[in-house]
Amino acid sequence: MDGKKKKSFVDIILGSNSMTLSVIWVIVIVVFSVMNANYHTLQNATNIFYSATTVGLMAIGETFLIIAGHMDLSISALAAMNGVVVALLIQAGIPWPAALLIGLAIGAMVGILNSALANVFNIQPFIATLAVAQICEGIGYILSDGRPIPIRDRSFIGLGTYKIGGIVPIPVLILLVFFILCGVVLKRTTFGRKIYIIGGNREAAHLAGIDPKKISTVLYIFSSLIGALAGGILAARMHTGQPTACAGADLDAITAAILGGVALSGGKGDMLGCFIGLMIIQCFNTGLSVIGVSSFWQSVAKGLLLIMALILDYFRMKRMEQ
Amino acid sequence: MKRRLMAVLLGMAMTMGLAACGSSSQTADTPASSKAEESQAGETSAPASSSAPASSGTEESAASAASSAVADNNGDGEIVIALMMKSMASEWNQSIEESLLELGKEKGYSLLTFDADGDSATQLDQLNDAINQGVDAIFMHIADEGIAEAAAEVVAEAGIPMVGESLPVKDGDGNWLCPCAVLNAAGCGTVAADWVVDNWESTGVDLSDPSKVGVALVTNSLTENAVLRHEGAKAELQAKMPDIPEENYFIVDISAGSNDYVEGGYNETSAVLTAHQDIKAWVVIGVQDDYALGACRAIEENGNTDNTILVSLGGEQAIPEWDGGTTKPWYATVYYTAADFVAPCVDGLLSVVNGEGTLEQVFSGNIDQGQTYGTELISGHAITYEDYKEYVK
Repeated sequence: MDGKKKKSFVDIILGSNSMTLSVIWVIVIVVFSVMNANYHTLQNATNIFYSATTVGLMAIGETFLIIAGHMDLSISALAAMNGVVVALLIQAGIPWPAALLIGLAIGAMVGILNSALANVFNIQPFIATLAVAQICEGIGYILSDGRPIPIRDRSFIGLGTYKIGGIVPIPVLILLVFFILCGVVLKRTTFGRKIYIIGGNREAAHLAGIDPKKISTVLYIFSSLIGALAGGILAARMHTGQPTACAGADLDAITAAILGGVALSGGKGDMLGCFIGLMIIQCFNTGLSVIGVSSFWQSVAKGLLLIMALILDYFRMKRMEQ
Repeated sequence: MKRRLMAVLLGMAMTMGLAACGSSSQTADTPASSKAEESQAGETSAPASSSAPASSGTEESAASAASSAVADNNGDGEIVIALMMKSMASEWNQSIEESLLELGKEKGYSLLTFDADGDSATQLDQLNDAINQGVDAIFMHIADEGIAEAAAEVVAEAGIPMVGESLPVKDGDGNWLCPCAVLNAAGCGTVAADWVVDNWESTGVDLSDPSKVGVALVTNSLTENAVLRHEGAKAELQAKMPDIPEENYFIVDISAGSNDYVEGGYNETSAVLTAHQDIKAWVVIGVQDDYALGACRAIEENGNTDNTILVSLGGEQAIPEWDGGTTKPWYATVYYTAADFVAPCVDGLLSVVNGEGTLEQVFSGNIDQGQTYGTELISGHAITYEDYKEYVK
């Protein structure tokens, strides 16, 4: 007995947020696999990742912003608008890479607008981005006349549907690459550390010579860029640009981030947690559908899952304090 | 600070520019939305076929158009029908007006359009305006069922015949207050199921072993209209293909997957197809075209294109798919046009105005027990890749 206490199983599980979430993720997979043998097939795994791409990309942008003490509620509407813009440009004969770049440029402009409203005019990010969402939604409807814009360019459709090695769809690869790169930026770079500082204590950041407005501007632009990309990819997947696309996806993205341990108050969270949070939600949703649970009960089950994860996080934090 | 302000101005300029580019090709104040249309008392989404409306106009322009038209018509005794529209900011409603205008050239009446812009009080005021201007008949797209009784009273006092279109004109007890042409949601589902029953052999998808056939009804349990459609389809399939086991029917509820109808259709259909790999042939009925589009992508993604028959309701997504050359697995869609609603209503109104019949005789073939007025139930008809160009402008 040299004073070192051997760690119990509970200590290990509650020792880190990622470990806690991973255990929940595994439980979800095991439970649904027992209930339906087709749940743990490669095809279903592909479906789960594939279905997670739109919300997942948005969740990356939201994670950055929420850790920095901000939020972006315009990202879904921007994605829908961008899907329409890209579809219209392709329909007009513009090569799809150029169309996608123009869409991303518009996304960057929306990010600048969000940042300006939040940082220059000091409007609450929640309100500012909600207003911008309305604008984007309206423009999407105006441009499309409220109708879906079909996409015929097979190479652009390939961006959303082609599978590398016949297994990994390009959107899934894009999602994973973004999660890894952004995870590295957040955890291993000076810029990432600044994000935590401005989200944790804005005044301290000022005193340390960090300009929170500059950092959040970069994050708003990145969030909009990734939202615009998500909209373009969704349009490619569905072969159509739809003004109604992505409805509610930004709230799903925020939910995934929070479930993954990102604190709404800012300054806490990481990309790994967000990724596992996203996967838990997606695996859970797909599992409920696979075993044929009615949508009304699915809604109840999803709420209970979120509460359970948050309570687990509460116990973990309490244990850490002790 | 200057740079930041420049950024704001640039952002705003970009936004305004985009809006300006878009509005140059618009005729309505606000864009049409299939979702918005669906929310109107559970009616249906606008068919993709509708060409651009002749003009929708604002309330003011409609009123001024009204005066001149009445002045003209009073002179030569031409019949004037007032179109009381809930809101012209809807593609479907625009196509109703267009269809009425087109039919007017053939039948010899003129049309006055009143746009209530979604406001029921405005519609009641406009109804009085229309009566004061001496219109001969009312074509009612009611702004709110709550004003139906008041509207019916005003019209009855004036002694002017009225028919309702798309949205039911009923009192609080569910009694029809005038003849109405409304969508038969369950009937649309029946038409979709009938197409599968009658045509599956021509698709190459083998449904000969019912025990291996799965039926996925892609629906939205939060929308009454969608539920009626999938129930209609299921009942018809059960009646005509009774050997498909009950456990092979799957309710694919898009409301569980996403708020985005297309992605919801994709996510939920993917899950069901993956979970039931013992099923050898699928019949997928998307009760709304947006759901069906997502289901179509899921069918392709899961490698079920060759063993699945997809039929949808609406046509606004199926037709662009067919235009783009996609045929399998999307074989048919149940389609209806504004003209399907307008033509029987106009015939009924003109028969009353011309003294050839009474309002009670309009749609008399379908009068529910205890009701005074009949209804024309529109169920649409199935169109396919081969023949859709005959129906779609």
